[in-house]
Amino acid sequence: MEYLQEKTRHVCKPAGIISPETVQQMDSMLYRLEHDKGVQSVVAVVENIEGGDCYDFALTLGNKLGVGNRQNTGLIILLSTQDRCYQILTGEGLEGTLPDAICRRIENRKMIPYLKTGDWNNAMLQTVATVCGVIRGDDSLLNAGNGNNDRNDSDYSFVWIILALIVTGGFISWRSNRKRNTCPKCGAYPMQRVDSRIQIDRIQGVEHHQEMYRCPKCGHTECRSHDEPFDNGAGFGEFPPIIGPFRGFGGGSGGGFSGGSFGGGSFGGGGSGGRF
Amino acid sequence: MTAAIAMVCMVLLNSCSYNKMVEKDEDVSTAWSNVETQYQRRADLIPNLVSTVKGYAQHESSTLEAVVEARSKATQITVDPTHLTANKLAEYQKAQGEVSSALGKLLAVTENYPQLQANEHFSELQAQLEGTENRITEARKRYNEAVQDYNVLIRSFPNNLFAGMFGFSKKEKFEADAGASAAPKVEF
Repeated sequence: MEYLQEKTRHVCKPAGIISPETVQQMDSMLYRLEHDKGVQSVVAVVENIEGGDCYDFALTLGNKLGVGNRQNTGLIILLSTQDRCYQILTGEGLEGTLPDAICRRIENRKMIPYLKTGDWNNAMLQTVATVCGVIRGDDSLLNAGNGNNDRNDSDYSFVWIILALIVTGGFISWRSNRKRNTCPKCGAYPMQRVDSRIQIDRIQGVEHHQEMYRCPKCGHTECRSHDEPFDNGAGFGEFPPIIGPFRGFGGGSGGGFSGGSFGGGSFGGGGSGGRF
Repeated sequence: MTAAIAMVCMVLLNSCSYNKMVEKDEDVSTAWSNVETQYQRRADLIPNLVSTVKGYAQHESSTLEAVVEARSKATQITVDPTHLTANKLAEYQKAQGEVSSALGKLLAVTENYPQLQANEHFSELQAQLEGTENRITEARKRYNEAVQDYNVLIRSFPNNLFAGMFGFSKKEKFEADAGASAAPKVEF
């Protein structure tokens, strides 16, 4: 499969039925289609296939290789010249964009007229160009190839909200802390803690804290008291140490590999085909 | 003591993959609903097809009526995936098989009407019907595969000891019946 060796090549033409120029034109159209719309495609032109049934062959090809990405927008266009059959097969995610009726219309108008005269080049070129046009017209497939863009956006906004909350919370606590530690007489900052005392009331389960603060500038002293729930020291003792099994990252793929890989798409039998 | 027994049970159940059984069971339900969706899709296409054919082939009213009747019978039968008994499945399959054969007859008849054959709308309808038949075949295949996976899991040791206890019973597959082999083949 050419695509697996080089991801810019979508056309298989083992028998050399169509000309290199046509192949190149289709390759570039299909490469851009995958780049823009995330539609992975395979175009195959062969002399004959085992069993002589284009639909079966295309379906097996598509499902075995897993043509298409996670959205299942795979596309297979197959022509077998001696069996005189053709098939456009759409992945499950592409059935909405390219319904069976539209596939049939493209075949009727752009493919069959050329096939009847044996002009394989034009039949395939026109078909591929029209299919690309239809897919490009569908805005819902925009950027589908770059993964789930929508989800990523919302993920980031979520992170930003959390970050904003942390920053705001930090600022508020800093402000209140500063306000509390400012001398009410002369406005100097900070007041120093000179004495503290803790009284534990085990029956109520409360600790009475008393703290003395003195302003280093004017010598104003202030006594503050507050209560805290009794801390028996068991706090965070129950947490087990978090030590995961670390595994090395092994086996990076070799450099210079430019082949594409099929994304595991599946085909449910959509599309249209026939004989001529 | 009770806690110990509960622990042992949990470990046992876990190793006997109760969760796996639930997962496979759900897979079968999903596959089944997909089968029903595709049959429903075919049923939805039929009125459109019938009205198109009617415009060109007024003399085929009996064939058309047979299709409509088979369709209305078949749409009345739905099977709850949790109660996929052999009888229900056979009934469902028979009803859908009748739709298939009636449709096959209708499409055979339309070949006598060159004007209808030349109609682009009809050609596209046929493509949709053909695609739906393909989807039905594929959905049935996937359902059978899901059932196969499920049955192998619940019937193999030691899961078979627990499966019955938790209500996981063997499920039925589609069999290639007369209706399936006589599915309308749309040729050009």
